[in-house]
Amino acid sequence: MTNNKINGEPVTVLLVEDNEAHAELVMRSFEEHRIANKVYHVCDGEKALDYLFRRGDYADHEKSPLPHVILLDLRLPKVDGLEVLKEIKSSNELDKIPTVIFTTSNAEIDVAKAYEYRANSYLVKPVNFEKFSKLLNDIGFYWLAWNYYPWDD
Amino acid sequence: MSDKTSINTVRSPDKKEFFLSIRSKMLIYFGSMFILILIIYVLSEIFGIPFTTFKGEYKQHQSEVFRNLNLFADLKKERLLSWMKDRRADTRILSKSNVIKFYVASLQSVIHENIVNGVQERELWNKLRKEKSYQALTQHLIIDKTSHGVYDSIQIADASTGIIIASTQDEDLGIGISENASFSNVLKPGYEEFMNIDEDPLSDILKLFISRTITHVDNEDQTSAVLIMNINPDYFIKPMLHTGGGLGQTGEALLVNQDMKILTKLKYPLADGTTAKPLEYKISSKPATLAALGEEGIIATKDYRGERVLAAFRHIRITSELGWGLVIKRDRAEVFAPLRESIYYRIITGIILALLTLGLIIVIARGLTRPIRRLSRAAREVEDGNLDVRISTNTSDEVGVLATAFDSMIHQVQDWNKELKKQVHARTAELEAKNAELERYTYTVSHDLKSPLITIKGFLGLLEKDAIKGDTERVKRDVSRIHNAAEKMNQLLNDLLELSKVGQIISTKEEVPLNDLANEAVSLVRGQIKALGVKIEISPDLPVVYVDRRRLVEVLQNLINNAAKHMGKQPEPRIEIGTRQDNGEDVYYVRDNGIGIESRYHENVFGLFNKLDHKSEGTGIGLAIVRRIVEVHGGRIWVESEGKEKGSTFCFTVPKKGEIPDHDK
Repeated sequence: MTNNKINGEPVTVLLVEDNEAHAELVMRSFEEHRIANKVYHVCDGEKALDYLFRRGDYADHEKSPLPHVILLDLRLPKVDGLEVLKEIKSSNELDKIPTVIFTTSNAEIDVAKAYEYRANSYLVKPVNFEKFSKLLNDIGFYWLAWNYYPWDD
Repeated sequence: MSDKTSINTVRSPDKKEFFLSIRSKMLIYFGSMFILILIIYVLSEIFGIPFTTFKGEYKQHQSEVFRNLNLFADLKKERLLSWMKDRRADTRILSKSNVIKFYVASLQSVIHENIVNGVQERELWNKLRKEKSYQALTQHLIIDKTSHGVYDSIQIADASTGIIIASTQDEDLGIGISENASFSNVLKPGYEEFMNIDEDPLSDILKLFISRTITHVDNEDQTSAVLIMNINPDYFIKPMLHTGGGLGQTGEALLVNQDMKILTKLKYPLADGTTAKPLEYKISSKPATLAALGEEGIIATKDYRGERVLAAFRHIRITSELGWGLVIKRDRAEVFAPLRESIYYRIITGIILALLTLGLIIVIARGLTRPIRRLSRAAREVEDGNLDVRISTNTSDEVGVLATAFDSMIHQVQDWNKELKKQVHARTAELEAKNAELERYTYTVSHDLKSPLITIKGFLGLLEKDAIKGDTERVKRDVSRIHNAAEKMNQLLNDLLELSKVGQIISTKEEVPLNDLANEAVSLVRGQIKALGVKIEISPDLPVVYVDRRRLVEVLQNLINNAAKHMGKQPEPRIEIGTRQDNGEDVYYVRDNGIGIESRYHENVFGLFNKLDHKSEGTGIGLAIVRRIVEVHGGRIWVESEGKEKGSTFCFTVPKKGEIPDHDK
């Protein structure tokens, strides 16, 4: 029942990451593990919200579908990651999308704030690439393969 | 900070320690002063003032009493002398009377006749009593005695035998008195009169005898008989010496003879309780002695009883041989009794006055010290930390001034206290802000340094795989990523180092024209500016600023750089450096016509690592450094922009020379 997702409909991930290099690392890791069929990348908080609420350049539903999971960095230009999280979780349409915080910060205050704003998971980017790669693999399996969603049949 | 400002300094006079309040001091000072003045006043009134003519009541009283005694003494002396003169005149008249002489002669011849005839003595006197001449003579003497009313008896004694041949007392007849001083002395040659006070041998009573010779009726040179008139001094002299009420109860007059023996009875018994007998008791007191010796005057001394007296003494010279001493005296105790009484009343009055004065002083002292007491109470309260205390007096004297000054002092202290608290609050807030900033700083530093590290490690991993696969396109890209990340890291470290320096270096400020600094900054970024095609305008009227030259060039350089980086798609990029006046304050600015900043990001731009555009170059530290430098100078920095594509203006201020920097206010 779970495995059909891997083989079935396309799985989408919204990656909110201002660091281009990091974004590439994430995408290549997914690619390597053949996790997500489609990764959408935005580079700041404002664009992330525009995407999710389908504003501006992201108004087209076909081009920018709602993701199955959101990978959200915290320190973002213009609109902060926590602010984006808050917006997502206070939206009826978006609040059920698993939002995984994926950041370099392991500061207590960030962790606490993230959970306060109802983050579904909090992950710290490992410096070691092996671990980095493994973590993204696990994310893929957990959230995109194993996890069950209300809209799944 | 507790509300009570702990001013636990040395507590001057401890509450428990004994100390005199101003009130009790005033009471002691003024009270003792008043009592001293009162004592001096009363003493000077009584005993006189030294070196002045004012003798004082005591002396006045004494001299009055002396005057009185003198008057009395003179009067008594006068009276005694005149009385004696009268008595002597009486005797003279009687002895010179021819009638008396005649009768005496006839009587003597009868006696002579009878003696020749051998008539016995007893018979002789009986016969004589029947003689006409005897009867006539006796009659004459009796009339004389009665008419004067002074004499006890008048006797006539025969000069040759000393036998009384006639007397007012019939029983005296025939008595021989030849031994008596009054008889024998008068017959001495050169005498015709003799006076003495002696005990009467006939009656044992003290009597004054006045004797005088009676000459022969035919021969004036021959003494035939002696006339003796005697007086009881107790009846005549004593009443005459009576002092009456004029000399009080203790007033006494006493008479002594030349041998200082008293002639009259004394008023008081002697010191040993016995009564002194006249003519026997020799008085030894000073006035009596002096008077007997012929002196006259006044004296304050002790009398025969040993009692202290005031006395006037006189010498009464009756004949060249006979002189008496007269003493008029009065007890000192009685004399000064009224004075003592008045002193007593004066002391009582003085005490009452002193008490009244003390009461008055207490009232006055209370009135005067009330504000002082309030002041000291208030001071104590302030000492205990209550700064809300106020005296609020409305008196305008020195104490009032002090109280008002005190109030305003406390008010000021309170103000200072508030100000201090405010400042402490402000500083605490400032420190907290700094602390938070530092926390954020370390956090962001670790975060931002980790980012390139992750990139490097990640692409190293990918590089390995790509190399094995032989995908040269990807290998190239991986290497470029690694290179960029390392470069970024280097840049970050440099900027962080720079930022930490800004906070540390407090270099010397100097007055420099801002134009010079602007030109210097522009020349440092010239290459970059040229490459981007940005035009820079420097306003010619920039003032002189008081700054750290190198740091301010850095500020301008950073601001120009920042502006140049955010020009976006502006076809004619332009940067303007100028100045304007905001509420009298010089504001310097760097204005561009670039992409602008939305108002919600205006504060964010100065934060560490805060970048609005992830694609823009730089580390996000530049503006943080700028803000840091301006704040270290004591100035402010902010950004003004009307929004996207409207350009932005970075404004800052720095205090002029002599102005207090913002953060020290």
